[in-house]
Amino acid sequence: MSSELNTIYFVNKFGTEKKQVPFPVSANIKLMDVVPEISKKFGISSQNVCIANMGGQVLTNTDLLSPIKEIVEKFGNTFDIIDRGIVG
Amino acid sequence: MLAIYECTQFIEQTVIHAMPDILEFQEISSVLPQGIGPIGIYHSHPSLSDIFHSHTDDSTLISLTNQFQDCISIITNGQNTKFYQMGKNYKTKEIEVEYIEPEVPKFMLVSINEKFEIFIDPGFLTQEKSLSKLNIQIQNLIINYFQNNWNELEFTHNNSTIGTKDKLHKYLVEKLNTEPLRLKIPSNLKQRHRDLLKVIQKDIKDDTVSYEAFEFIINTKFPLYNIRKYDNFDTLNQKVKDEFLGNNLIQKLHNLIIDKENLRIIIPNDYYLKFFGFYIRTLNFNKKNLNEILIKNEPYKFELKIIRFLKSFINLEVSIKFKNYLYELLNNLEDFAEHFTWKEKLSEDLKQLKINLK
Repeated sequence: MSSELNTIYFVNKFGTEKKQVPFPVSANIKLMDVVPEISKKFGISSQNVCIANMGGQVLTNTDLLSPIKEIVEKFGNTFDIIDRGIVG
Repeated sequence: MLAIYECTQFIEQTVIHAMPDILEFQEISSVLPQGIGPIGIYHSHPSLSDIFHSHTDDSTLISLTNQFQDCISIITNGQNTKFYQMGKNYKTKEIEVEYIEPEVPKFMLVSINEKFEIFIDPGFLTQEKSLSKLNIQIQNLIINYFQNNWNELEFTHNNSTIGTKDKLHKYLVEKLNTEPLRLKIPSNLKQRHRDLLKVIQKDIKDDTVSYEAFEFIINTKFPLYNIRKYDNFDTLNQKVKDEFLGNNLIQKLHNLIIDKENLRIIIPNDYYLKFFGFYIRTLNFNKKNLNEILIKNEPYKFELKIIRFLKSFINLEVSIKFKNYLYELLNNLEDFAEHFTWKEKLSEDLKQLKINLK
């Protein structure tokens, strides 16, 4: 299996500063497998996390199960990471 | 806090539970400049006499406080309002608030004006169905180019290089038409990396392919708020990078047009609206027909939303300063609408608002 690395970028826009975090990851790994780590980096509860590309497309569970290489070719390499902000 | 903005779209909304549409959050946060952003949540507990912070609210406040430590949560029952923050040991505490007219801070203005040649495998250009793939590849190529070379870029002001020990406060301004800090790619770097800007169809470079050269111009100017006295050059550099690559250029690349006839790649321009004293940014092309085809209904929906928001001020008593903000925004909205064919649809609304907000 290839060990090619893709760097994907996550942007968090909550708070006064937008923050962008690079995330180097193997191109064959599924995005779903790294979501808990990404959530942790930004401090978002993993059940609240949502990932969208800059064209306003929210990644579905099927997308999250695709290899990162495919996701980058389909959606680009930069994503917004958003807290669902559930209230009750 | 400078303003409160209403989310109107929900994925789920019942009397006891609400999940906002994250795309609306994305849309609102993406128009805000670096240094100004969403800092909390505001929602109602209808039909309840006591205002309280529920377990669900606590859990969301913890998650949001992890992202922004001064995050606030505001709850109303329609008559009264309470304000909360996360205290020590993840315990929610009620806080007192003071209502003042906030001063909008000065900002640092940064501009980037660069011309590139992007070489595209002609195989991409003949197949209509591979165009969206090509757009994404161009986007990834440009973002990676800046990410990989960011530390070699230079900041200048009035043609002088900004040193790492320079006091940043002297570059703060109040208007967009002042001399910006210019971010430049050194010419030797551009020459050295000319060959890197190739969009290839296969994973392996094929040297027998005769690539088509497309002109690509980036010409942008953006404000950075919240530059503090103790911020150093490295902090500024990171803020510029986060805004330019994470919010400005990326949105434009998502709307790029490949003009095959004139061998150009065109991205939309920034359009700034003054929103309660600070600038927010939306996008438009110079040509109405491009706006209609490519940006579709997004700017219309955006303008409509601001108009609806402004209508909520009609019966409120506001200060002269605040009234001027509202008028300034209305004038900006009229001007922005000039770039679109839907202008007429909103002109009556804008006219009425001007009368009603007098």
